[in-house]
Amino acid sequence: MKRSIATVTVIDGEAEATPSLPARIVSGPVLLYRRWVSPALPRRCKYEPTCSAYAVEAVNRFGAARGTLLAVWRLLRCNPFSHGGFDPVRDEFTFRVGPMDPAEYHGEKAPNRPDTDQN
Amino acid sequence: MEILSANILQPLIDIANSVLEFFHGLGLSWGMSIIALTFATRALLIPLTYKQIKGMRALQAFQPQIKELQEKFKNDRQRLSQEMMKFYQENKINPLASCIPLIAQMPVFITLFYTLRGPLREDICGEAAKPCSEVINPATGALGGFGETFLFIPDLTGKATGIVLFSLIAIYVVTQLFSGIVMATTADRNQKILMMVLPFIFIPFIIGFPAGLILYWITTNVWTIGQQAVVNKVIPPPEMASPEVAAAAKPPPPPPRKKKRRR
Repeated sequence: MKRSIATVTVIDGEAEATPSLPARIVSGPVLLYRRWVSPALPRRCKYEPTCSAYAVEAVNRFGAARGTLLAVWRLLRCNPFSHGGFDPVRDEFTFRVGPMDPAEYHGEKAPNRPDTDQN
Repeated sequence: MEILSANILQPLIDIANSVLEFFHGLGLSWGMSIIALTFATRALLIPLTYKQIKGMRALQAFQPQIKELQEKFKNDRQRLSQEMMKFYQENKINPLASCIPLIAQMPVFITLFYTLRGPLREDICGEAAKPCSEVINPATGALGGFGETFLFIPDLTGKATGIVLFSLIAIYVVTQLFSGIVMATTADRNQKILMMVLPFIFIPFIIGFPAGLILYWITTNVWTIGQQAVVNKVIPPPEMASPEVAAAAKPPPPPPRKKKRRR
């Protein structure tokens, strides 16, 4: 299944261990939402990956507690006053996040610090 | 659990109740007050829709650049979304509504659930523990008759049953389907099917709701339909259905592949 984040992470072969039980419990409802509810609604998330995709990945990578914190922080940023953008889950656990250049993410461009932290 | 969530939402419940009392004080029936509360809530969100319309309008000025991006990343849908979002953000023209308003609907809904089952009952018949149609009216000595009825609904504060429940569910499903259709930005068949199925998935939950809550849901659907009709007039649908918005409106694409996690 393309949709399952866990599977994708495993395919990539650089996954940290399989998500913990709490992580799976937390991401369960989000996965259900992604599978059954969100496809029926028009897109509203102004970020890429979307908040739900971000939440699942964050929880899988950083565990239930820290992943949820990152997900909530992202949701709060996905408000009518922000401009969205490309904002992947970062390598390390941090709240200093913001729009990023996809080219940089995909390794086509050297990191551009000021750009990374700009909101 | 119920007590806990009721406590957390107590300030919101108080506000909802005051607003209902306010509208009732203006001479509206309790049912009309629920409708007025729904409209007021949706009216508060109009600026957000307006912002979105502005974003979509602005988008039209950026067509050449957007076309360029689409051409450049036409074989990588996910990368295209990433670049599109970056482009929107850099130019401050993001046409998407954002997630918080969607999430915020949940507490509003739960708040109304508790308001209808508690404070509103007290407003109507002075008894929070049971639906007003089950309370003896001292004026008549019979059950109910406090003003808990609305149109064909015998009691807004209690569960509907029988033909009333059936009618409410039917109206809910129809309005939900219509609001889904007017909001739809996709041509994807599976998505459309899911959109058609979704209202039916909610039916088992709706059955246990106080009738006033179903009234709220129907009202908010009607508002959505009307608002979208206006929006479609302001921004002609062909523009909305342009490929890049349709691409942006796709369901959550598979998560970014971690091509290069560590540098």
